[in-house]
Amino acid sequence: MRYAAAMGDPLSPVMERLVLFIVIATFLTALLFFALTLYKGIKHLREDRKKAKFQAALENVLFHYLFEEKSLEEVLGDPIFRAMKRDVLFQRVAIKAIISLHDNYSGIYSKKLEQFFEVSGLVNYSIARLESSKWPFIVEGVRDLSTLNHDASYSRIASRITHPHELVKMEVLLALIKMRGIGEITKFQKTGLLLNDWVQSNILYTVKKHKIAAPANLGIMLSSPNKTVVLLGVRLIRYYQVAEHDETLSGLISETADAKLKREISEVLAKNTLVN
Amino acid sequence: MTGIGILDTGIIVFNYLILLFAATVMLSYVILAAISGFSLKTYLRQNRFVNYKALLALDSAPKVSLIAPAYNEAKTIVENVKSLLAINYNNYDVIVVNDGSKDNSIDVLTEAFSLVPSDKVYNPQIPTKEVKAIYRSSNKAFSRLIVVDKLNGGKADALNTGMNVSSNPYLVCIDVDCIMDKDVLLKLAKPYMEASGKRIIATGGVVRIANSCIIKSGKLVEVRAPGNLLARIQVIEYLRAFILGRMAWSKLDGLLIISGAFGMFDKEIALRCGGYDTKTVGEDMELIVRMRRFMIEHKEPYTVQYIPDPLCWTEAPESYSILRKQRSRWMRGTIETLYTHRKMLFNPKYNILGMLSYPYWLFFEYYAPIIELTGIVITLIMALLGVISWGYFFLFLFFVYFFAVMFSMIALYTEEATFKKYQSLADLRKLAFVALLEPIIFHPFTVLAAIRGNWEKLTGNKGWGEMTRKGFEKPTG
Repeated sequence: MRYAAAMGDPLSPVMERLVLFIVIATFLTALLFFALTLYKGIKHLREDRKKAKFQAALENVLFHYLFEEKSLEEVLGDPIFRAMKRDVLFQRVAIKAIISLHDNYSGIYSKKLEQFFEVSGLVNYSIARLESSKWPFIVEGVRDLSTLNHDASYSRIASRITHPHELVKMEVLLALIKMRGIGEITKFQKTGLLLNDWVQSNILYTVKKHKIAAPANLGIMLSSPNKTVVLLGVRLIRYYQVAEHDETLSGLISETADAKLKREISEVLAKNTLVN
Repeated sequence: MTGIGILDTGIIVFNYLILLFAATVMLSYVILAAISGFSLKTYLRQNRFVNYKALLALDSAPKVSLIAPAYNEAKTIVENVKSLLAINYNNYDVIVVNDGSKDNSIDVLTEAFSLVPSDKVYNPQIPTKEVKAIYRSSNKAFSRLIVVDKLNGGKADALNTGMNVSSNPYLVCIDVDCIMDKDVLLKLAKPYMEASGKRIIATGGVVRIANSCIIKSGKLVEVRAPGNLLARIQVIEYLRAFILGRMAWSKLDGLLIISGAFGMFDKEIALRCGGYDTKTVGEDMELIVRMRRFMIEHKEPYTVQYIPDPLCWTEAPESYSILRKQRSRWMRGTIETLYTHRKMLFNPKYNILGMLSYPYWLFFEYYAPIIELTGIVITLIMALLGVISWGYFFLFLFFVYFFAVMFSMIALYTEEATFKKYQSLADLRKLAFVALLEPIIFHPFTVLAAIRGNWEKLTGNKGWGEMTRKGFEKPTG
């Protein structure tokens, strides 16, 4: 802007004040964003420190509960735990920690963690999220409650099936599959949820991770007018290595014009032939 | 003023034209920043709960070839390739193209990865320099690796060779010396799985500066502000460009560039377009523009996606001489691409690309340094003639300075409010401090480097210029 040097003198008084105002405004804005950056940085650091403190306390409580045969009442009665429990950040960190342990343990330990989630009252945090009007909170609530198998929340979760946001619908679908099995997918027929490859990979991931048993009526999916449902059916047949649908699949391969579906069916048939 | 009527009128007209240009540039920055901020917020909210690992559950996830051209990289190539082989993804292979290196890259690779000649037949769908051999590893642990040894033909030629060798439908073209996030392919592939209606022809992501960061076994462990001042200033520059610029262009569907350091492409479209142009030094930008033109001219619905997560970390030049070479090359690349696709300028057939993106690049990326230099020269002449109103001069100078600082501060704030990669307050302070220096010591230099790029283009310089890198081993300490 050095080239704006000899700006027309006729506009001097107005121009001068205007430019001066803009200079001061940009300077103050720069200063404001610098201050905001530092504020955010300090806030993040404090939050991280607080999280680390909560994490350590939680590890201690959960360790005693899981491996040292301390009763739930004993660990929940711990004054430090009771004081921390009121903090929302603590509740978030606690649920995350429980889910993380739940992912790594099975059998009695995972049951104990589910019980801890419920009896400690942390479940109320997740239910409040589920009942929120903001979709990201609903997703969080659905995920936490379903991952920790909170069966009492099943109908509450299922009621969110008609939510307008696609991510909520997908999360509800995954939650219902986790809680009741793959047959729940039929409930989504009229929700308009698009079963694209991304949604399907999430379904398959849920099925594999939670070891969801193969439904008896897997073949129904193959007769759906919706090609994405058929594709999911084929992928599930491949995962479960079910050979009883080979005849239907052979029929489908000659009927369909969908190259992707054809390819996936032929891969399943080839695999099943090899297995048999 | 001078008292000479016509000269005074000329000076006033000139001043207002320049003022208009500067105001338009600044306004465009502010608008783009606002769009970016909004888009980034939406993106982060949408992606807060995404479980990228879910993609690993799908056997038919997009099959990808990572193409890594290498030229004289013997010292670091083994670590870099190992890092590429450790990426979280199922359906991918790594194609390292040794572009006629003068060092012992091939010997080093052969020894480290137990390479043996492959029976793969080279099918040059795009003409390239001669391929001497294609290797595969005899060790099952490296079964994803393919190494191609070819005669030197430049980066674009090496990428085209990799494209010819690949048997997968998607390509990720990368710089072998970049540090990739382990989830890079999961994040780049996700949009292809969600596509409905429009075909995704490319996805690109954010490149960040890795100087002084802690890197262990090819993995970024801790992000730090660079110790070197020049590299640190480039952090601010990259934050502005990627966070406040490209995000907005992506939202407007007007993205004209996907960084050469890494981007994912639909191979079929890239091949139909003829692959990378070997005659330009801006092959990354040129390919995207050509692919987009191709889709529009063939009336095929398409889109280009941008992933704002920092996925690729690169080493920035720490010396002015290397930086100058890089920036003059970037300018030559811009000139070549804009010239090749000049038909798009204000052509409504190309929608936002022709009416907004192309003019933006032409006026604010290509012309801006020339206009700035012209302004400096004319200011000097006016100063000599004694016709400068010094009050205004300093007011405008302060305005431009504070605007640049403000913009950098907004970029820094956006980074801290979103990805929070810089963990310490000291790093944030360091970066804020260089934001104060950038308009004084860095920007004028980049203007001169861009002018030099213009000069080199005029005089027929076609080289890349040597890009010496320190490597990531030293700063890891």
